[in-house]
Amino acid sequence: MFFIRNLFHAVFIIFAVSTITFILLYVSSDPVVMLLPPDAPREEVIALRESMGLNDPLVIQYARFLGKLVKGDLGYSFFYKESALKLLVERTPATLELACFGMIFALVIAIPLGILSAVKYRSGFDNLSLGFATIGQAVPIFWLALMLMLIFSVFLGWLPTSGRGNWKNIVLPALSLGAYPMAAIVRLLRANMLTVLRMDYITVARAKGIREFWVVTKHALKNASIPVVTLVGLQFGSMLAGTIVVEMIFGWPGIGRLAIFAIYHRDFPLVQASVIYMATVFIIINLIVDFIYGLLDPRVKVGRMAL
Amino acid sequence: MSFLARVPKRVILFSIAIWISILFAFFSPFLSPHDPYKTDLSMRLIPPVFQKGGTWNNVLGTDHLGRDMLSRIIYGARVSLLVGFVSTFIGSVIGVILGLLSGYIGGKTDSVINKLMDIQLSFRVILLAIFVISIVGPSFRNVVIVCGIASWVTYARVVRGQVLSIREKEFIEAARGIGCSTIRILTRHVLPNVFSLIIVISTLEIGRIIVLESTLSFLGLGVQPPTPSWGNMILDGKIYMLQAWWITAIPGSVLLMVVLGFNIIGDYLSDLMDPYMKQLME
Repeated sequence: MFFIRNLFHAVFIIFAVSTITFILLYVSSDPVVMLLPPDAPREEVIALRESMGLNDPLVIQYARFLGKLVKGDLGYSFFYKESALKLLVERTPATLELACFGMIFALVIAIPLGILSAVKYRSGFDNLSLGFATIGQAVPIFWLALMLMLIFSVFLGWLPTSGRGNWKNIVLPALSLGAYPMAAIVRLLRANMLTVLRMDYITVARAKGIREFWVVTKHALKNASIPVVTLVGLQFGSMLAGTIVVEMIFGWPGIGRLAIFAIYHRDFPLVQASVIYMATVFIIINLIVDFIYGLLDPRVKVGRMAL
Repeated sequence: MSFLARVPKRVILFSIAIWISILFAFFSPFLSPHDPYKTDLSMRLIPPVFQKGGTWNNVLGTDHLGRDMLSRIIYGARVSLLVGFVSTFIGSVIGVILGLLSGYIGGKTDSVINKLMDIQLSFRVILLAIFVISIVGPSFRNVVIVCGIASWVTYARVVRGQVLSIREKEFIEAARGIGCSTIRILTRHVLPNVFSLIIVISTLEIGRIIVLESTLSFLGLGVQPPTPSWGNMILDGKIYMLQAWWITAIPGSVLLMVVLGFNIIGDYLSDLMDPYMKQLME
């Protein structure tokens, strides 16, 4: 029931996002100008406008757009002369791969850092990892990517600057993309662990003589990690937007690079399709996160209902 | 001075960094040693002074067109800070108005504004900005507007949450009782109570907007060359990374310092406030 309501909500948002992109494109650009050479004869321009249905009233054009959208038709790329959806779907695995590795990297570093920071609260280590996290949240992704490239490819020559296929190719893009979620997870996990470690049941566990290591990793972490799961999900969605810059810099053949390419070539149907597609992927990920969260923590369902 | 002693050192240090960048922005013509637009191909790619081949004439070196890096960084502060402050202002005004209305009036208004927030959140900010700018064309004005509109949600969400609790307080009921209009209640009684919170969010948002602006500039969708901005300087340097690391590294470091500064001050301010509000913002 809860899930179905969320599903309806998600469909509504996708519909709204699509409508906004439609309106923005409608008011601001004339695709015919982009399709024909500047010196094209007038009759040709008029004929093309007519055949593309650009002379129809807004409502009819909008209805046609929605009709196509329902069938999963996101338009036709001027540049590639192919279905935009097909182009995007083809490049999705590369982007998901990048985002997954970025998240794995973020988790591998952030979980130990977050736990240790809380255990060694206000120590030198804690300050260091908090400082690290603060920088991770402030640094612009594109600059971090360039600096990693400068250090590991240009100065040290350890890793390649672009391409996909070898494991070496994914290290730098994943590091750049993972920096922000890593920082966010460190801070949230640390804060949650600090709260949980002060709770009565932890004192009880300690009093029973359980080793401190198990108290922290088993008893405390279990409860402290529930909000982190949501954050990971949300950050995963946000990382898809970050892939735009990272893929462009490292020449990673995913949807982000496709979107930037479309913008540079003023291929508006493809740009529009990319925006709708990425928003949809983001919304689907959020749906899944909500669902998993509901399974993890039964209280959530009740809480959401009350809202 | 006893007040300053209680403020963490990092906050003081980074406030100074921000004040320096503000000075840069206001007094760029007086502070920059060279004309930031003057190209001189005989002087191209000179390294910073601390590296072999560097000169005191161009302390931070020169770029691929022989322009002085330090002067361009000083002028670049104008773009970043101006976009940062103006867009934050636009975003906060929109966000606060919608947040007040949604929290105070409730009902249909509230659910419409909530839907708007969900829609805005599912457009990732950078994606929306890139999309809109690629349609309307890159210019300073467009960047300011897009960055402003892209940042209203946090304000609206937090203000709404606050208003929901303030609404039930006695002094609001009293104001309503003596016949104050809704607008008067919102502006004279509710707004002052959420104002400090708005300042905290704004401080944190400025950093994000400066990053967004530099990202747009880096993608060629921000302020257009030859006007220097830290983002388009980094873009210039990208092609020359093999020969001249400083063109990408130095403007980026300055950018990072400023963003870090706003974030650290924002974090400090929000630590001073109620922890519950902090939760709301995350």
